[in-house]
Order: sequence, then structure tokens, then C-alpha cells
Amino acid sequence: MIDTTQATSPSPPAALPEAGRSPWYTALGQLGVPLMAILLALIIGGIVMGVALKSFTAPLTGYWDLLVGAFGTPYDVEETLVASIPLIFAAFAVAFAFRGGLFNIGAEGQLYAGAMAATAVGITFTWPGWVLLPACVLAATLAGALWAAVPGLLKAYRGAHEVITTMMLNYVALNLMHYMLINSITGTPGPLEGPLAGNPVSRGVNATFPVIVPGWLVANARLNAAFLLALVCGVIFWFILFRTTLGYAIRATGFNIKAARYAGINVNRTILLTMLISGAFAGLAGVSYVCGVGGQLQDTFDNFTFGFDAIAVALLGKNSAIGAILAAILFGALDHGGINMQATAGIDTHIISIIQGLIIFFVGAEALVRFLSHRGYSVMRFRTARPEADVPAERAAV
Amino acid sequence: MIAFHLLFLGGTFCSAEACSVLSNPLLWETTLVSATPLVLAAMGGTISERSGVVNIAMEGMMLVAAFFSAYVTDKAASLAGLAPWEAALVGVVGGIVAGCLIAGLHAWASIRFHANQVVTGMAINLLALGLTSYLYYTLYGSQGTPGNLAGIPNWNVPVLSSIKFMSLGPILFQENPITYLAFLSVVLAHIFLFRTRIGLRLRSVGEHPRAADTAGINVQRLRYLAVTLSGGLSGLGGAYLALNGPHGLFSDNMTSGRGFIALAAMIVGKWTPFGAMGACLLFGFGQALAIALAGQLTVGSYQVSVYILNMLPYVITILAVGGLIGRSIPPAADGLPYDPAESA
Amino acid sequence: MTGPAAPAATPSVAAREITKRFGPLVANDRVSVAAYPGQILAIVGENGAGKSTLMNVLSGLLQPDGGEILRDGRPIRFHSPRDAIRAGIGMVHQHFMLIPVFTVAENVVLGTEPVSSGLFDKRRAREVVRRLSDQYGLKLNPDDRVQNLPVGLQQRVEILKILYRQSEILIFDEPTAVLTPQETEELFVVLRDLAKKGKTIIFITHKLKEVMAISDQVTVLRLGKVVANLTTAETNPVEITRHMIGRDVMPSVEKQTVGGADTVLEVRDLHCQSDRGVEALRGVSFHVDAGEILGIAGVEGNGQSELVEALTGLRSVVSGEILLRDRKGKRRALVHRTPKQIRRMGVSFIPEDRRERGLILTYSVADNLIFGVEDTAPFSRRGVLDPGRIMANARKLIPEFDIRPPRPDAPVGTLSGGNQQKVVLAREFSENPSLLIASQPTRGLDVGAAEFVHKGLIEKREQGVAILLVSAELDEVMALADRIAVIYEGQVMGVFRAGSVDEGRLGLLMTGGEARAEEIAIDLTAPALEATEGG
Repeated sequence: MIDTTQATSPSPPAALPEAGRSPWYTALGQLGVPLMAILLALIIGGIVMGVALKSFTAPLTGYWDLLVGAFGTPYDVEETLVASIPLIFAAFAVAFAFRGGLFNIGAEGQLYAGAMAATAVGITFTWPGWVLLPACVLAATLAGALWAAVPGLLKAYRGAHEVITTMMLNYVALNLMHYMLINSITGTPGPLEGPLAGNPVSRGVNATFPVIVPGWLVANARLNAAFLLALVCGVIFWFILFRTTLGYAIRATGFNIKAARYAGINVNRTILLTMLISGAFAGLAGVSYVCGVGGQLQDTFDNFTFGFDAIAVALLGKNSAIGAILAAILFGALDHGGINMQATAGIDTHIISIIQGLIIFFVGAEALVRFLSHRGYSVMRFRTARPEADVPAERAAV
Repeated sequence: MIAFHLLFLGGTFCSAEACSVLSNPLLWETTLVSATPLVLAAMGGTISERSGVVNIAMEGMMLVAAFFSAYVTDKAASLAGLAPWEAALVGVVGGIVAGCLIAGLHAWASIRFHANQVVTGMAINLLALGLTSYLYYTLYGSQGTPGNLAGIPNWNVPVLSSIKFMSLGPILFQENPITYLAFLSVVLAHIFLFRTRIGLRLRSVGEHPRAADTAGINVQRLRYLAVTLSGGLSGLGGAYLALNGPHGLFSDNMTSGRGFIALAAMIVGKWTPFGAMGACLLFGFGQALAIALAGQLTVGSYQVSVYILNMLPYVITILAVGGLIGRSIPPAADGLPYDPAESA
Repeated sequence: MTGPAAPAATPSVAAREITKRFGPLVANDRVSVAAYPGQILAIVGENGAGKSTLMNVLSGLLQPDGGEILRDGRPIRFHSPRDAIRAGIGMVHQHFMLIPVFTVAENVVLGTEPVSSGLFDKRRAREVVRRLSDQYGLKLNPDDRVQNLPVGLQQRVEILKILYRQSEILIFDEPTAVLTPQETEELFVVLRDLAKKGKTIIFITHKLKEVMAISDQVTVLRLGKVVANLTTAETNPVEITRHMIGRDVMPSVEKQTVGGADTVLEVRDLHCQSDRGVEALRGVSFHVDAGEILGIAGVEGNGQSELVEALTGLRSVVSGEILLRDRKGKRRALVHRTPKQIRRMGVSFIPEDRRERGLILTYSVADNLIFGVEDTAPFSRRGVLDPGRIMANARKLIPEFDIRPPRPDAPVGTLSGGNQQKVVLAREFSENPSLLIASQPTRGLDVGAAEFVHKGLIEKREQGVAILLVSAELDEVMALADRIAVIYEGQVMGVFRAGSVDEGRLGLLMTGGEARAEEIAIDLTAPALEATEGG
């Protein structure tokens, strides 16, 4: 009766994402899809490794070294957490905007803005640390929020799509950072450039987050108070969204802007506030690095893709605070463990970017993940895949 | 237009030698060189989005194509022993195919699995960066692509290339063949979208897929076609980046945001081929000017950094989508997956 | 089952035992229908009876899970609308399948375009469309952009589309829902003409008047099943209704008159613009007293939405006055107030399209019950929500309004349409309003749920609330309202006491068939409110 050509015709009506699904689907949707996305990304990453190195065992040893590198020693665990810090903040930024129906792919740019502001404050003043550090944090928060205010205002009052404006602002921020750190051809140093000519970094900031891991536990530990700040922000994230009238308005606006308007919610103001708070989280990601393990602003920043990875982290974490933290730690583990993988197994760390890209791809295409997991399951069981296997009409969070 | 205005505003402050830059043929040539990959990718984006599939992955498609066009050229010469020009030609084809394949991935996820097109597009960009970097460092190590890699040299159009008037010959008719193809693609894209039957159908799919479906049009197939075309065009743009000139070269992240500028051009050009081309030329001109004016443009005693000039395309796009310089309205069903079974 | 009194000929199209499921929902359960050339078959049923699903199956948009389609007696399978079109089946959808930015000609030929030397032949498309339009008297200009055409003409573009494809079977899905009575009459002329030319017409509707007026045969669907096949000439509306809802209709709602009331809302010379910048309200004046229902009757799109939005603060007012007597008896101007301020003054609002505008489907019942008052005591203090109070409020209202399932934490999206509307009513009624604006409050509800809504409105009226009822269903307005105001092209054509005017007269006024009535002058002399404070 049902032939394979019908696999593209999903059956459940789209209006109610959660209604009429069996608990199995719901469970799969909550946890299964993210986990399957990770698994699929690792499998494909392994295939790329195997093909490029012409070896069957390379992926296995590579992943083993990755795991050991990420969690093998207390130091590695601590470094994995260090790597996750900016991601947690940036993921909060993306997830918060998602909740308000906005797709902030500009966390990257807002992060730069926060980093630049924190650097400006951190190298200009020589106040004691307990004054200067909060000042840096505040500056970064404000700068991130301001950078996000532009797309927020344009969205709220001009209807400009935030995906385009935030993406464009990423490149504006990137160029602004080049300008800040790279001297011009005639030799004038950039406004934030350090004393070493030709080295695109700022001077060191005068205040950093204190390390929170005692020396007797891990020597040379770098895990600092920014991680605690991230956890506090997770609570703030949850509280604003689920315990305040603003959060009520944000989620209502995000789900159905028309209904929100009819209920008397000032949706323009809500959109703007959503972007401001989102940008503030992203700004914090910037200061968490500059006043954290970075200690200075570096132009190599643009080799990092915190803001983009944060999209994957937020989606993997289902736009919840706790989910974002867990997903960020996973990405931190990939980043930190990748170093060991390169050192021990000789596999270029860029494989990590491939895996992370694949994870984003798969969380964006949930239905594809369901389809592939079902196929894979069927193949393992030597059965033919049920073709109409639950291709849902449900969309991702946007 | 605004950009020209701004630039000329800047021009009133600039020194005499900086102003002479405008009469230098090199500036205009650089404009065409900068604009070529932008035009190709922007045509791809325009066709894809006209069919209703948001494509922000031109950056990734170009990057992958750039790598594979260099890689295929290399292998075609070293393994198959082809002559340089043959190898480069095969390389260009390889780049186009790579672009199509990556685009096919985007199409598959978007069309068949109703993926969030912005997320998968973003993912493809990151994936492309990771993949090309990984393959580049794994296959070529730190030495980079071979120095004698074949390329696609410029081609002087007979007769026309020797026009002396305003140096039009050297500027316009001593360019790379791919540059000619890029501008030809604008005309072809326009005819395709607005004068052919498939074009009419493709636009209907991007505006109201259900209406197209009920008219008996295969929505999915047209979207696959459009997205794959966009990959092929972006792929040609990527191949140009890697192979333009007497010798080819690939470097890590060599597209460095050109795909996003093409995206910006598509928006500023209001999803029309000629509009997008105009925006590409404008942005190309901006880049050329930034290079030509490096360290020369001053406002008062303040030296304008190239990085500030580099921001212009992005700022113009923000103004355009903000409706501050003529409103840009995308196709009505842009980015919306189409599900035939969903009740209307 | 009533035996079909069908002609002996082979049906030009028939569905045999069609079954279509959406997840657990069986939208069509072994449905069989047959339509014959030269005849008009009406398919009737309530919302959710499975009419549209059946038609989508017949037009190839959906593939059935079971059963088959017969074309001239031969089984046929459709994988896509393309196959259905090829088989000569064309459909005019309820929501038009037109590309707004395309011209009439482009829309008509889309999918079957004329080509010359590889390019789309625009000129020939134009000629063909002009010829067809003349042939069937549809009066369409091929070069007009569809987005600039009135609804009636857009529907003709749809008809032209299927005629261009030389369809023998024409399916119309609730074609009159968006038409004025006059446009409906014109459509019927076209339909009869098409049937006379030998076409098979399938006409889906839930309006019995139209069934009686136009059809030869009637098939009744209820809850996804065929419950009756009738010959129009041998049946009557009462019988059809009984099949449609499975029981006899309740007599209309009883209401007592409430006398000696004060004016609660007064609107004076209100001018507003539509979203497209056209003047949508052109000097609207009326008043609503405490304890009365003023019904606004009119064909949709004549300014009702703009009026409601202006009253609730969602649309800016160009000129004119809106005066409200609030709960404390104070007179206040509503112009240039935010929706929130107006709500706080005691105006409750049941929006049309509850799913789109009245509810957040992912929110729980409890959260939806405070939607709009979430930032007031006792539900929140200084911006922080009080989950305990929110729950308590839900536990109180759920039994009071018989909301099912009675779970405060159930996402509203999982409730049935009737229960969703109960959530809206519970919220709006519990705010103790002095003015209640109800916009299309029973649209899309089944008969039982509609009765519940009507009873609720009457109850509020008896408590002395002033109610403004905006409805496209003339029957609903006539059954509930104490006075009826007719709106046409942004003007009030007349205000009448219920019972003092018949449907025909209202219909004429609703369509501009009669100039503004005399009664309006009398009505304007009613006691007026004075603003005691600056706008």
C-alpha cells in the first residue's frame, strides 16, 4: 500500500507539535535527537578521518585520544570546563533570543563588542581588582547589549529580519576588532593595540577572574570564577524567562506575536528587550575570555567561532539553561580533547570543526536525524526501513 | 548609491593623490576581480531564494569549491598528467561539482526534511571551513598547495581588448574567462527567472508553494534544481578564487566572508539578478578602493583604516533591510519548508 | 443510510471507501461519494467533518490510506495534483491558490504555460486568458496583478484556472465564505451555466440555504463518515441539519429584556485606515448600552476588523471619539490608549481566530487564563510571577467553565476548539468587564460549543455588561442582538431594533444595495456620553 515515494509525505498535522505523539516520540524528541545528532556527527567525522588518513583504526584511536584528552586527568576535566565558559554564555544568548522568537546569529559580533569594551576598561584603568573586574563585566554586558540593540531596534520598529542584520553586524564587529588591534600600513597602532608592533593583541587587562580550583588539586589550573558567573547566569536565564512577567511576555511574543499584541503586550518593546538581554549574555562571553584565560584581546579571536558554535549548543540544549550548559561542556570537551588528539594521534584539530558543524547541521534537520537513526537501526536489525518513519512537520525552535 | 555618496563625501576631505586613484585603471580592474566571485555567488543565492530556500551557505559552497578546484587541478596534473590548461579546466569542473554536492546536502535537509534552513546553512559554512582546513592541512601540510599549480589565465578578447579610449580595453576586455562567465550568468539568470517557463514556475514556488503544487508543479524538484544551481554558481565563484591567474592557489579560509557579502548583495539587489550585480560591483568597488586607498584616505588629520572601509557592504545591507534605503522584501515563502500533507 | 437517488449513468468521478488518517485522527472513514456530469453535488458537514480532506484527496493533494478514486468508472491513482489535473479534476480552494505578485494571466497558465522558442509566451497567455474570460463572462483583465483584485474577482481567476486546464470536474471548497450575497448570486449563475455545459460540479459548504439553492444531490458527512445521500428536491434543511449534527437543533436562545440602561460605549464619527493605508472606517457612529447586545452585521472586510482593533487600542484612530463609561461610572476617552490601558478600564475582548490571536498554544491552560493580566496583582508583583496564584485562578475557572480536560498544566494547543474558546471566555468574563467585545466568537465551533458561547454572552448581558458582537453570520447576529448595526464599506448603514427588520433588508444594506437607512438619524439622538477627561 505505502511505497517509498511517500516517505516525503509526513502525516501528522503540523499545528500541534506535541499533541498526538506517543511518549516514545516525545522522549526521542527531548533527548534522542540531540544524542543521535552527536552520534551521527561522530560517525561521519570518523569516516572523514579514516578516508583522509587511509586507515580503519585512525578514527578509533583518534576518538580514544579525544576522550582521554578531554577527561583523562583532573587537569583535562578542568580545561574542558575552561573551554566551555564562553560557549555557555554565548549559548545563553542564542537560546534566550530563540525563546523570544528571534534568531540571534550575531552572538559572535556581540561577543567581540563585549570583549573590546572589557579590554578598553581593563587596560585603561588601574583600579583594584574587586572594582575593576566588575567594571569590565559591566562594560562587556552593556557593549553586548548595545551591539544587539541595533538589530533589536531594526526588528521591532522596521521589521528588518534579525538573521540578516545580526550576521552583517558580525562582520562589522570583526572589522572593528581588526581596526582596534592591527596597525595601519603607515604604522599608526590600532586604538587597543599593545606595544609590540605587528602583534595584533592588546596589552594585558589589569583585572582577571580569580582561579577557583585550588593548587593542591590541579597544578596550574585555569578554571576561574567566570564559570561560576556562567552558572549564576543560568539561574538568571531561567528566572527571567519563567518567573517574571517580562519572560512571560517574551515567550508569548516568541510563540505568537499576534496573540501577544492582542493581549496588550508591547511586542516592540519586548523584542528590543529580548535582543538586549541576549546581547548582554553574549557580551559576558567576551569578558569571560578577555578577563579569563585570554587575559588580553587577541585578533586571533576570529579563529574562534564561539558565537556560531553557540547556535549548535543552544539547539542541542533545547534552549534551556541546563541543556545549554551540558552541551557547552560537550563542545568544550571536543575543543580541549582535540588538542590531545592532534598531539597523540596526529589528527588535525580541524576535524573538531567538522564534527561541530555536523552537529549543528543535524540539530537543524531534526527530521533527518530521525530518518537516519531509523535507517541505521533497521540496517542493524537486518530489516527494511519503514519508509514513512516519523518525518515530523514540527519545525526547529524558530 | 549611498556608498558612492559616502565615498565622495570622504573624497572631499582626501588629499589630491588619493583622488587620482579614481582615474587609475587598476582600481577598476580590481573592482571587476573583486566582484567576480561575488556576482556568481549572488546569482546562486538569488535563484535559490527565489525558489523559497534560504541560502546563507554560499560562503561554505565557495570555500569547498575553491579547495576542490585546486585539489582536482593538482591531481589532474600530477596523476593524470594533463597539460596545465586542461588540468585547470578539470579543476573548475571539480569545483562546480563540489559546490553542487554541498548545495545538494543543503537542499536535501531543507526540502526533504524541512530543516531549519538558516541553521543548516550556518552549519554548512562551519562544516566547509572545518573540512577544507582539515583536508588542506592533512593533504598539503604547512607548505600549502604546489607553487606550480595550474590556473586560468586572463584572456584578451580579440580587437576589443585594444580599445584605448578611457583604457576600456584593458579594464573590460583583458579579464579572466570566469569574469566574463560571471557577467554572462547575470543575463542568463535574468532570462531564466523572468522569461522562461521554468523561471515562472520557480518564482511561483518561492511565493506560494501550495498554489504551485495545486497547479501541478513539482515544488520539491524545482527547489532541488534551484539550490543545486546556486551551488554550481557559487562553486564557479570558488573555483575563480582558487584558480584565477597564471597559477592556482588555495589558502585556509580563502573566501574570508565573500559568501556573506554576496548574500548582502542579493538582499540589497532585492533578489533580482541585475540588482544583485549592481550591488556586487558596488561592494567590489569598495574593496578595490579600500586596497587602493590603504593608508591614504584621511579625514582631517585622521587616517581612515581599511577595516572601517571594509565595513561598508555590511552597513549598507543593514540599512537596506532596515528599509532606510529602499525596502528589500524577500519572496513570500522564502525559508518556509513545504509540506504537501499539511492542511492549508 | 438513505439510498441515493442517483441517475443511472456512470459517475464522472467517484470516491470508493476512501480512508485518510492524520496520526490518531481518522479524517475520512471509508467515505464514498459519486458525482455525475451536468449535475451539482453538494457535500455538507460541520467543521471537522472531513469535507476538505476528501476534496484534497480528490484533487491529488493528499494520498488516501485506503480506498480508491474512480474516474468515469475506472480506478485511478493520483500521486500529486498534476495527476488530478491531467484526469480533468480541478479545484477552487477555500484559500485561493494564487500568487499575489503574479498577473491574472500568469496565474491562470501557471503549470501549463504556452511556450515559443523556448521562452514563456506571455502574449499568448494573455490572449488565451482574455478569450476564456470573455467566453464565460468572467470579465477579467489578464494584466491585473492578483493582489490588487477584490476577492470576488480573485475567485474568478481560480475558476479560470481550472477552465483553462479543460477540467470536466470542478470542485468548489466553501466558495461563498468570502463573498457578498450579490457575488454569491453571480457565482451561482456561473455554476449553473457550467453544469449546463456538461461539467460536473462538486460544491462543499455548510450553508444549507446554498445547498437548497444550487445543488441536485447532497452528501452529508459527519465525523469523517458519510451519513446520508439525498436528492435536494426531496429533502429539506431540517432533515439535512439532523444528519449534519446527529440530533435536532436547539430552539434559539431565550433572553429577557433588560431595561433602563446607561450608555457604556459611544463611538462618534470614527475614521481609521486599513493596513494598506486605505480608509477603512469612514465616520462610524453608534453606542452600546449596559445590558444590551449590539450586533454588527456585515460582509467580512467592510471595516469590522479595523473597528474592533480601534476599540481595543490595536489600531490608531485618524479622527473621531470613543468614549467608555468604566466600572466606576467614570467617562473616559479610549482614543490613543494602549491595549493594556483599555483592558484595565474594563474592556474585555474575545478576538476572532482564537488560535491566532487569543491564545498561546504552547502555554498551559493556567498561563493562558492570565494572558493579558499577567502583569497585574495578584498574578505578579513587581514583575515577578506568582505561580501559586496563577494555579489557584485556573483551579477556580476550569470547573466554572467546564474546560476539558480539567488540567491546569495541559498545553492549550492540545485542547479541542470548543475548549480553547472556553479558556478565552473564562479569562475575558472573569475580568468583570463593563464592555465586552466579541468578534466572530463562534467561528469554527461545533453546534454544542457555539451554544455554550451564546449562553455565556446572554448571561453577561443579563448581568448588565454592554456587549458588542461582531459576526459575519447574520443568523447569529439576529438571534442574539438587541439592536443590529449594519456596516458596509466602513460606514454604518443603519441601526435597527431586533425584530424590526428582516434578513432581506439587512442583506441589501450589507451589500450597499440600499442607501443608508433613515433609522440611523433616530439612533444618534440617544443619550450621549461626555468625556470628562482629556484624551
